[in-house]
Parts: sequence; C-alpha cells; structure tokens
Amino acid sequence: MVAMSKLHRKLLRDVWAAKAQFGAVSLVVLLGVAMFIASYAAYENLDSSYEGTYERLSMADYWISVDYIPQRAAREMNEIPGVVAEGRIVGDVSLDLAKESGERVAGRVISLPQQRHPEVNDVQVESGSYFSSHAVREVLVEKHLAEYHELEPGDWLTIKNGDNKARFKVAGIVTSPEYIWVAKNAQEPMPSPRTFGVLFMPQSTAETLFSMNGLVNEINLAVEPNTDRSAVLEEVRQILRKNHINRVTSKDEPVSIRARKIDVIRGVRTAYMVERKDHLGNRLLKMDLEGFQQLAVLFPVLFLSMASLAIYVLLNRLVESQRVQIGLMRALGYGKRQVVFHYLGFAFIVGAAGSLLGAVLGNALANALTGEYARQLALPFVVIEPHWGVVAVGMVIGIAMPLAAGLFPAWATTRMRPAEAMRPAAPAAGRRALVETLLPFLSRLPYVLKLPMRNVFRNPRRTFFMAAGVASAIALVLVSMSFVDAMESTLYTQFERIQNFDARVIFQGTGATATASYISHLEGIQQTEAILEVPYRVRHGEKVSDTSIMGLPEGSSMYNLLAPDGSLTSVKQGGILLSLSLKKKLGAEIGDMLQLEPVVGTIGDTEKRLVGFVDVPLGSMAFMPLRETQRLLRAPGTATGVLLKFDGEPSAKLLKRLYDLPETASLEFAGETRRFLDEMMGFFWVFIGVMLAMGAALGMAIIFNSVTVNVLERRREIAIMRAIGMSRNRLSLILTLENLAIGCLGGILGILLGHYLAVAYMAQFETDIMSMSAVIFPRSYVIAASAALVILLVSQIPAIRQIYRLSLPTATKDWSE
Amino acid sequence: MTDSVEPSKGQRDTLESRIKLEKTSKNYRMGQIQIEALREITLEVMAGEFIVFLGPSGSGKTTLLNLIGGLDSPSSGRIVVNGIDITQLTANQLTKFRRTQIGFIFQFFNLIPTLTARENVEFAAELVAHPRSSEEILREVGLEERMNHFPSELSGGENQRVAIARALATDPSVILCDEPTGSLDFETGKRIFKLLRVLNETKLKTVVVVTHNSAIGDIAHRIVRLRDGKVAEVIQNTHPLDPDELKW
Repeated sequence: MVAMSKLHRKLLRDVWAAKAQFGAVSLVVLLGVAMFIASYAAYENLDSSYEGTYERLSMADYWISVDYIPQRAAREMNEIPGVVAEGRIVGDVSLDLAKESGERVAGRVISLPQQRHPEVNDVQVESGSYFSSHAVREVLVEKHLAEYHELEPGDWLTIKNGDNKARFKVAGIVTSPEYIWVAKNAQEPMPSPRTFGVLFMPQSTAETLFSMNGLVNEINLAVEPNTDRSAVLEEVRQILRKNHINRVTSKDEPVSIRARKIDVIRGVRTAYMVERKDHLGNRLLKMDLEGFQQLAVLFPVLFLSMASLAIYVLLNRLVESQRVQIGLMRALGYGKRQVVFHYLGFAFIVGAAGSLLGAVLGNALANALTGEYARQLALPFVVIEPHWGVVAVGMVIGIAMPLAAGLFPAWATTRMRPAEAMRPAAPAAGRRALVETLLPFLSRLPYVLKLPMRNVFRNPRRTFFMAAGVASAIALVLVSMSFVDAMESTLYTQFERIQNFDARVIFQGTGATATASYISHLEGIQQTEAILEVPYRVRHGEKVSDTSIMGLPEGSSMYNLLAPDGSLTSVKQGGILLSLSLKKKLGAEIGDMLQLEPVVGTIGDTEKRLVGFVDVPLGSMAFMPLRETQRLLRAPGTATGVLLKFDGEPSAKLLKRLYDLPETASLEFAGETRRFLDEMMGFFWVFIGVMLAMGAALGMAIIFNSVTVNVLERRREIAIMRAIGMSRNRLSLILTLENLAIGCLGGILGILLGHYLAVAYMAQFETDIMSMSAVIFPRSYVIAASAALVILLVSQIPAIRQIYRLSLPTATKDWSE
Repeated sequence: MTDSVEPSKGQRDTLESRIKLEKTSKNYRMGQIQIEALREITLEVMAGEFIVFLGPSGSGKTTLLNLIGGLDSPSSGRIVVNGIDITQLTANQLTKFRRTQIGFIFQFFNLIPTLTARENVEFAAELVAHPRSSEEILREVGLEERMNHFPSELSGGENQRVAIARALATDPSVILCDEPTGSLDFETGKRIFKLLRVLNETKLKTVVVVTHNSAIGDIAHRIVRLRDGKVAEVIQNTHPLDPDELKW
C-alpha cells in the first residue's frame, strides 16, 4: 500500500474539519450532476425508445396520401428493390361508445391486413389479440383512446360514417408508432382522448365502410438503408402516374392554388407525400423531447455555476484562514505548485465526491424519469440503458467547474510571501462606510446597528459573494417558479380570458350555422356561436406558414380576442388578424398584404390586409369575420363547430341530444381540455417540482455556506468582541442584522437575475402547440424571497452556535488557526 | 540555470562562515507606513555557532531571520548562507534552499492543527530525498509517548518540541528560531534551550535565535544587539551558561 503523503492527509483532514461547508458544496455539485445525467440520459433513453419503437414496428419512411388508388399500386411499389409498401384506407368517422350519455368521439379509422400484421406501420398488441382470420366486425383500439374510455377487448362500439353505421367488437388494444403522440391534425395537435382517438379495422371492412372496394387512399413506404432514395421516389412517381396521379406535392414542394386550379381543369390528380421527419406525430414527439433537452441543460448549468461560486467563496476563505499554514509550507520548502495543487485538491474533492454520487443518483433518476415519461405516452417499447458518455460528460463538468472556480483562490497562494503570510495580516484600515458620509445621522446609530452596517461595507468582496450566493438561490427558485407561473398564466389566458364557452360541438366535416341557432333553443343552453375553422396557407413575401383561419362572428362574446396589450379586440371586415407566433414566423406588420390560400381544394385564395395581432397562447392561427370566411370558401351558412354555454350543469338528456345531432363528431368540454392539458403536462410538472425542490436544497446549501463562512472568517474578531464583554445574544443580533442586510441585497440581485433568466429562457420556449410568455406572479417573488429569508435565518444557527462554543483564549491568541 | 543550491566553485566563500550578510537592508510597507526594518547590516555567523540576536520589538530581528532563511529578500545587499548567495536565487531555488538548508522554529509553533505530532514532522520530512526518521527525532526531543497526538492535545512546550523536531527532519545545517520560548513558561523555555544547545553541540548545528529577552543571550557564543534596524553592539561570550543556569 502506498503511504499517503502528509499534504494529502492534511487535505483530507481539513476537508473533514469543515465537512459541513464542503458537504454543502458537494451537495450542490451532486444535484447539478445528477440533474444533468438524469435529464440528459432520460432524453437519450426516450430518443432510443422512439427510434426502437419505430424500428420494431417498421415505421414508414414515406406516407403518400391520394384520393384513391387501386391496391395493386401498393403491390407494385412493394416490388421496387429495397422498398416495402403497404396500401391502406384512412378515414375520419364518428364513434359511439355505447355509453348512456351517448358520448361520441371523433375517430380515425386505419385499415390493416386481416390475416397478417402489416409490414409497414405495424401495431403492437398490448392486450386482446390481432384480428381473427374471419371476423370482419372487429377493431383494434389505440391505447390512449382505450385507456381513457376504459375500453377492453370484448367491448362493443359503433362507428358512424355519414349514413353508414355499424357495430364492432374490440379485438385488442394496440399501440402504434404513428400515434405515440396522438395528433389529429396540425390544427389540433393535442386533442383530448375524450374527443379524438384512433382505431384499426380489417382492410375489407374499411373498404365497405368507406365504399372503396379494391382501393386504398394511402400508401406507406419503408425504404431499406443504403437504398438510393431519389431513384425509389422516381419509380414511385412512375407508378402513381400509371394510376393517373400526375402530381406529387410535399411540405417542401407545395403546389400553388393556380396550379391546382389548372390541375382541376385538366383532371390532374395529386398525391401528398410526407417524409418521416415531417410526420406530425413524430415531429411533435421530437419537439417535445427537444424542449426537454433544453431543460436538461439549463438547470444543471445554473446549478453548477452556483456550485462554482460557492467553491470560490469557500476556498477564498480557506486560503485566507490558512495564510500562516501556507507561509509555513513555503518556509519549509514546499513549492508554489505544490501549494496551488494542495488547494485545488479541495475543489477536486468537492467536485469528485459530488460528481460520483451525482452520477449514481442521476442514473437512478434517469431510469425513473424515462419510465414515467414512457408511461405518460404509453410507449410500447422502452429503452432504459446506462449512458456512459452522458455520465462521463456530467462527471467531467462536475469536476472541472469546481476546479476552475478553485483556480483563482489557489493561485492567490503563489502571491503570498512566506514571511508576510506568517505574520498576522495587518488589520484592514477601518473607515466610515460611504453611506455614513452621505447620511451623517447614520453615525449616531446604536452600535448594534452601526456595526452590521460597517461590516457590510467594510469588505465589499465578502459582502458581494454572500449576496451572490443568496441571489443565485433566489434566482433558481424564481426560474423554476416562473415555469409554473407561465404555464398557469397560459392556461388562464386560454381558458378564462379567451374561451368564454363551456363546450364545443365539433362537426364531422362541415355543418350549418343554423345548427347553432337550433342548439341555442335547446333547454339548458344559454348561448351559442357558430365558428368556421379552415386550414390555410398564409404567405407574406417569401415567408409561408401553414395554419388555420378561424371565422368568428363579429363581436363574438364566446371567443374573446386579446390584443397583445391584453385589451379586447375583434375580427374586422376586410382584414385578417394574426396570432403573435404567426407574426414572428411571417415577419408581417400591420398594414401588410398577406396572400391566403387553402391548404386543400381550389377555392378560397385571396389577399387580405393584416389589421392586427392577437395573443393566442395555445396553437397559432389567424382570425377573420365568419361571414367573410364563408364567402371566401363560397360556402355561405357553413360552420365546422358550435361554441356552447350551458345554463348550469348540462343534463344527460341535453348532452345526448347534442351527441345525436347528425353533424356532431364529438363534444369538447373546456374544463376537460384544461384538465387534459394539465395531465399531459404532468411530466413537466414533475420535472419542475424536482427542480424546485433541488433549487431549495441548493439555496439552503449556498446560503448556509455563505453565512457560515462569513462568521468563521471573523472568528477572532468575534472572539475579541466577546472578550471585551459583548453578550452572546447581542453578538448574534449583530450578525443576524448583518446577514439580513446582505440577504436583502442578494434578494434584489436574485430577483433581477431570476427575472432576466426566466425571460431569456421563455423567449426560446415556443412550439407549434404552445407559446409561453415570461410571466412571474408576485407570489413567486414573495415565495422565493421568504424561502431565502427562512433559509438564511436557519443557516446561521450552526455559525452562531460556533460563536457560543468559541474558546476565547485560543481564538484571540492562536494565529495559526 | 540549474535549481541546485549546493555551493558551487564560484559561490564558495569559506566553509568556516555559515552565514554572511553584506550591507543588507530591508524596507517594506505596512499598511500606509514605510518601514526601514534593516539598515546596511554586515555580519558573519560561523559554522557551529550559537548566536542570539537581541532587540526590542521593531528592531528588525525577525526581518533579519526571515532574510537569512530565504523567506524574504533584502531590498539591497548580499546574503550568503552555506556558501550560497541566496540573493541571486530564483523563487524556485529559494524554495529548494529552505527545504534543504534551513530549519525554522516559530514563537507560535505554526503546526498544522489537523496533523498529529508525527505527521507534522513527516510533513517536512517528505520534502527531502533522505530525511531523518520522524520517530527518532521525536524521541530525541522527548516526545516518543506523544507522537500520535494532535497539536491541540499537547502542551505549549510539547508543541514547540514538535516544531523543533520538524525543523530537524530535513537535517539542515542552520536552525533559525524566532522567539522560540516567547509563548512558553520559564521552565519549559529552559528545556527548549537545552534541546537547542544539545543540537548545537552534538549535531554541530548553527543555531540563530532572535529574542527580546536579554537573559537568553547568556547561553549564546555571541550576542548581537539590534536597534532601529542596525547592529548596536556585538558581544563575544567566552563562557556561555548552561541553559539550566538561565534566570529571567
């Protein structure tokens, strides 16, 4: 066994002697490293889980949608070398779940081969079984829908498509790689399973339901790796052409409405092709994951920065208090480098201990986080594996940051001349604080106030570091709280200020505005308004965005439009309003002309003047008067839904009547949607909750350290005060006042820093689903500040206890301490 | 340039002379005051000599000791120790010089509080290639029973003996003592001087003591009185007292 050098032994014993301080800083490193590893490894796990699911269930590389095409076209594509193709029918229907309420759900039916699993876009049977070989009246229900409505194999449900209506038995509950994230369409990226769900039925049954014998309307292609994709796509186009589909469009190759009109005249049919990267479900999943990845970096960086600050303060104090020992080491002949390394050793121990434990905790947390997230999304295959790369990066950062922070204090030892270091430091020149010169009456304050005041100003560096410690703790709590606030504010704006309706009847396709007035006469209905929502492409110069236009009755009182300043606004004749996120995407200003063209069809292209902006936290869209939208589509009197306000609690009878309307696809309840969003955000809340708890722990560690260091640095001075007869209580009061004064300074800095960080982070947080603006409620400032205050008061207890135990003869005499 | 601090041919003066100061001055600032701590001191200490520098506080005695030990550098003049002109040494060379040539003993012991007596000695011993056995030295200073105690568990005299043992660990030829008994009682102080005398006589160590206590001069071969940074008087003591006979 190699004997440990005495310098190393001194290092270990010094660490042990100040174990509370070093432990606290290690804890901060631990939390930072654990958080980084947990979130980043969870991110990696989830990414592998998605990719693994895609691979095992042969997720398609391309989706080609057409109005109709013979099945054999898919078989021909299957013959292309390196390509596996499956044709299928996809159609939207209404589901009657055979509940007493008559509850209906908008359903998407997807056909699958009856006798075998599809070779592309397969499903994983979670319970029950795949279709039996002969029964045609069977469906497989996607897990999210099944779980929400408690559907089990053996249950029955009714599918309604126009006038066709048939009952089906649930054969099994399945998960699908396309619907890990269940998105209805770009306009409704996050529908509640109460209103929308997916089910699968045998090909022949779908052919009957949609009257498409021998035909399909979608072909899915999986292309083997190392296959020349452009050659494959060329062959696909040839097959499509053979079937009279002469144009293929995609997100990157949109067809102008002019071309579409010409196509209609010429009888040219169009296929729409989606690549996997643009597949809505996949895109939303990845976007969600990216948001997660951002958090996975932001919080740990904050933590480790604060840990570095704490190390810096701690080592500065250590070096200062060990001046004599440093002088002695140099006098004995220890080289400068040895001394520097010795003090860096403290930072290393803190970093290494924190990182090591952080890695262990981080790994465990990563598994828990992955499991929780996978459960929320009902992922069929979950990959949980150690990510050594992430662990290594976490540990390297966890060690390197404290080392970097320790460099400065350690380096300071090289500037100490041994003889000087061993002499007691000349007392700092005592002087009046600047505020005393400016405000002379302060000099007449009693000592119990004057001393803390002078101490605050006497050593600006010490004051600054303690204030910085308090500030960073407050900032961290504030940033965590701002997420909660922003989310709450987003939901509040959407559901309390904008939406002034209890429910929305969603039509299957389009219905009539007259239905709204019909509904308004039903008993238990207070008010109704018809709305018309259509997918549109908005163009401003070179910039294009696919969005939807909502036609609202002028002066609508059920869907309030909020101007960016928060005031109420309304749709205006002859003009269009854009949500703020569209403003950003299109770079448009009020007065600009925008080109509008419908995403499908050939009717409705026009130019509109941009007349204003509205704040829409959920989704991004444009608004026009209802009648103008109807005129644009040359469809007067049409609507896609009706907004409802109930008179009290809706009766079961009323709901049944609403569900039974021929146009009803489903009913969406505002409260329900809000709850669902809250649930979907469940994971996010867990994450923020963990951050908040860790933030508080960090705050405690940092404030504890700053306060303890502040007291320990002045042991001798405090001992002298005791020696000349100052009571312990008075001394404790002076210290408390001083800490409070510095705490207040830190509080102000922390609030500013936290506010700035929250705003900076929120500015980036904008997805297709949600745009959050930086909001910090006053309560968060109060919570963060009071938490810091309590922590500060509690943290000084050990330091004050030390004063109580201080041996006066030793502390006043022994300079080697 | 090598890091060697062994006397080279050119550097070699006379082996009789252990320490030689030539017109050595030291000025420094303390707070806002400029202090002339030493003014053109010239003197020589011989090998195996036991010399005491006496003077009131502020006379420059500790500064002088620091300069000899290479802890500080003079503002002007030359200092030669063991034939090495230490004023010409780089910081690294000075570190090596202190490590191999000098043993320090301080008034406040300056032990590392987190290391035991034995470890404090080893702390210095580890710096040289062929140190003396820590246990043996501790036995020599009479601490064989207290080796594994921490400084806080030892008396002042024991702490100072640990400090002496530490000074001997690297087997230096010169031992510099700054008020070595300043924080000890009379009896303990006498025992410390006895120990230093033994080292001087049996191990032929050159012992330099600075103190304000003029009684201590009686045990030295030579007494140098300092006043205001200058040598005020040099007294040759032909009959040094045994430390046991000391009185103050």
